[in-house]
Amino acid sequence: MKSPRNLQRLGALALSLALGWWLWQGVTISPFQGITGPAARYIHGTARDTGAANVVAAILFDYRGFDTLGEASVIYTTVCGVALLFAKRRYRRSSHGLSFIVKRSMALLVPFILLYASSIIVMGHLSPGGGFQGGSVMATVTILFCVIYGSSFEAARVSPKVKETIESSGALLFVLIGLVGLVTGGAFLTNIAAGFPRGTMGQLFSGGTIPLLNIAVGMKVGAGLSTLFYSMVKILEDPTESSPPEV
Amino acid sequence: MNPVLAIVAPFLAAFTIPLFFVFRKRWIGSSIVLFGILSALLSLFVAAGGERAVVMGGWNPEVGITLVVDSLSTAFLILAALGFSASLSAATEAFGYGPWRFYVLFFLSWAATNGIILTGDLFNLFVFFEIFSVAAYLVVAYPPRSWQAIEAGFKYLIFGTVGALFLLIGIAYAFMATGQLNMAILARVLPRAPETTLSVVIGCLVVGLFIKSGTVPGHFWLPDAHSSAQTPVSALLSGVFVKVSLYALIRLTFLLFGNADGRVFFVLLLFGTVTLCLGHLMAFQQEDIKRLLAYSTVAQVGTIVIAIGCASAGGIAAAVYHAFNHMAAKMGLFLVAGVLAEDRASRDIAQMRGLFRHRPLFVLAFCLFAASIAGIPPLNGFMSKWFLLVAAAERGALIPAAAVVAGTVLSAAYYLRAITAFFSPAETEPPHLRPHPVTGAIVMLLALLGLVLALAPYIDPLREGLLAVGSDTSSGARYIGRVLQ
Repeated sequence: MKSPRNLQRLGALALSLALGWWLWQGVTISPFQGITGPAARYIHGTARDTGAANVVAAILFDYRGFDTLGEASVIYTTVCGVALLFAKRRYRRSSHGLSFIVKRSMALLVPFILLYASSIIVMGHLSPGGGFQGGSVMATVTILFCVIYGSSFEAARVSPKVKETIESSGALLFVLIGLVGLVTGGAFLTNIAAGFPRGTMGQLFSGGTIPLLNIAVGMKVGAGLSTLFYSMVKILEDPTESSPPEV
Repeated sequence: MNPVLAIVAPFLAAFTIPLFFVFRKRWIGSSIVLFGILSALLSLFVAAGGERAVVMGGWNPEVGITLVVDSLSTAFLILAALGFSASLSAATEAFGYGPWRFYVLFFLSWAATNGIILTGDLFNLFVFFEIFSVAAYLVVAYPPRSWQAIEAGFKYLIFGTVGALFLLIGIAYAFMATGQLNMAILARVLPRAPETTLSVVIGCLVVGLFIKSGTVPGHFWLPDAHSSAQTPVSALLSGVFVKVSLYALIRLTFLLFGNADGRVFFVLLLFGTVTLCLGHLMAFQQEDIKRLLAYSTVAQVGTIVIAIGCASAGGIAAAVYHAFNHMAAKMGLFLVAGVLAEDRASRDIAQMRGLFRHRPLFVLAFCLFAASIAGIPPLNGFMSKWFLLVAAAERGALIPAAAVVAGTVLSAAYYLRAITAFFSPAETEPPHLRPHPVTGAIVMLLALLGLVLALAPYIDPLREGLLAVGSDTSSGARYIGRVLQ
């Protein structure tokens, strides 16, 4: 019990507790005096400023759209890096997938999952959801393909280059919409003030650039997460067939 | 010119290079060069365009995200543009245009660097720090064949994530206490927060930036990352990446905590001194030339942190000036060391004998850079250390000042050890390896830049500019007025 390793652990525990105590002491919850600051503007102004029904989407893609470009680019960076580190030329067949029954029922489900994902993306300005969420659901489909049909299924149908194209085009679309705002509205990512139609709140075609940016982010995230998964699944292939990963 | 273009141009590069790979492979090389020139030129144009603040989306600063160009961000924009273009040119020579994903990451880190420098929004700063850090972990781990690089990248990833966590906690506490994210507004309202909350905000932000910049005790990733990465990447890490975190440290400490709590500057002085001493002592013991340079970077980070800790206009001017000098000298040192180590196929200093006869110009440039970084008068490193000593003396910080002087002696000792090896005769001639015309040209340009910087105190516009950086940043009133006009 008195070994140095245990002492180290006790020290680490004490330090963590002290840090936690310090952070706990710092928490301030001021008495509620109504919503003030930017939050008030977001809540009261969203409908007038952006035409979106979803306040979160308005903050993400209009008021603070530049942050979203950055956040989507974090994913883009990660995908690019994982593809760089795990780069390998060809796919190998690692598994044959599950049984016939599972494959057939999956085939029935896939269109609906894709429809669901698309609806999350294009209705991001109306209801909870948006590009990040819908894109992730979209990527889930490709992961299901790998589990159910075997890892070579997806690669044979959707080449990595197609995903690369979708991902980069989504990112490019985001920047171009921002540049349109810069040219016509005077500031990067300007929405209504740059002449994008506000529409009627609650309709599918409303919110100016917000649905477009949702689609751009959906392309970026969906294709990106799928690439991420397939880059990593390659090194999980059958160990008897190939050498272990060279790292 | 709208400052956002300095961020968008490298982003465009990063998003279009994959499309070129898919559709027009032959254009990748020229597009990388063109986008590099475009990004550097746009950064310099934004820097030359004078002070201004713009809000994304045309909102007011409280609601939207502000980009601010002031004298401090101008200085660091120029530093980043110079450093990135030098590293890009060296990388095109070292790697060719084949590894296009590397260049995508390169441009992403450039965009994020410009973003960190320009943004006036605390959360946006964190977002750009994330892109910047993820790209940095990955360029360190490139190429994936060498396990040292992977290990260094992984270590950097762990440390960087812990640092990012602290930054995020600090930003969250600042937001919790005030409901604001704009840095100019925060500068006004944050001092009214309760004392314990303020201490958490300060503590977390400073610890996060310490880890990101490689200040002791968050420096463990730095020597590994800087020495295991490829030569152009090492130069970029030391020349620009470390400075970006120091920029954020200058900006946040003076803007947010400058008036609120002077104790933060005492902490900076303390840790700066420890970093400086430890960096020099560790560099003294290294046998590997790139590790020696990496520990020397740790020591120079300490020097800059001491300059920030002086909490005065003179201190900031010295910090910025030293950041430029260190960029010019250390990028040059890493590039030369990379070429020489490639010739000898070894990074061991004892193995690197007889290289003067082999590559006289490179070795002479190494001597110049080493003398500059050690602080031999009248070179640029001496000039900035002089300003630093003056600022430290005015502040009454005599122990840090003494440490800087002692560190100068120590660094002269360890650089002389490397230089002695280069000049001493060798038993075997180094095999003649490929020429490095581009790297050679960049090394010459960096040496020239160093000489210009040495004259900076005597050139009126440069001196005035440096002093303006100091006086504008130390009070923060000008920055706040610019954003909230």
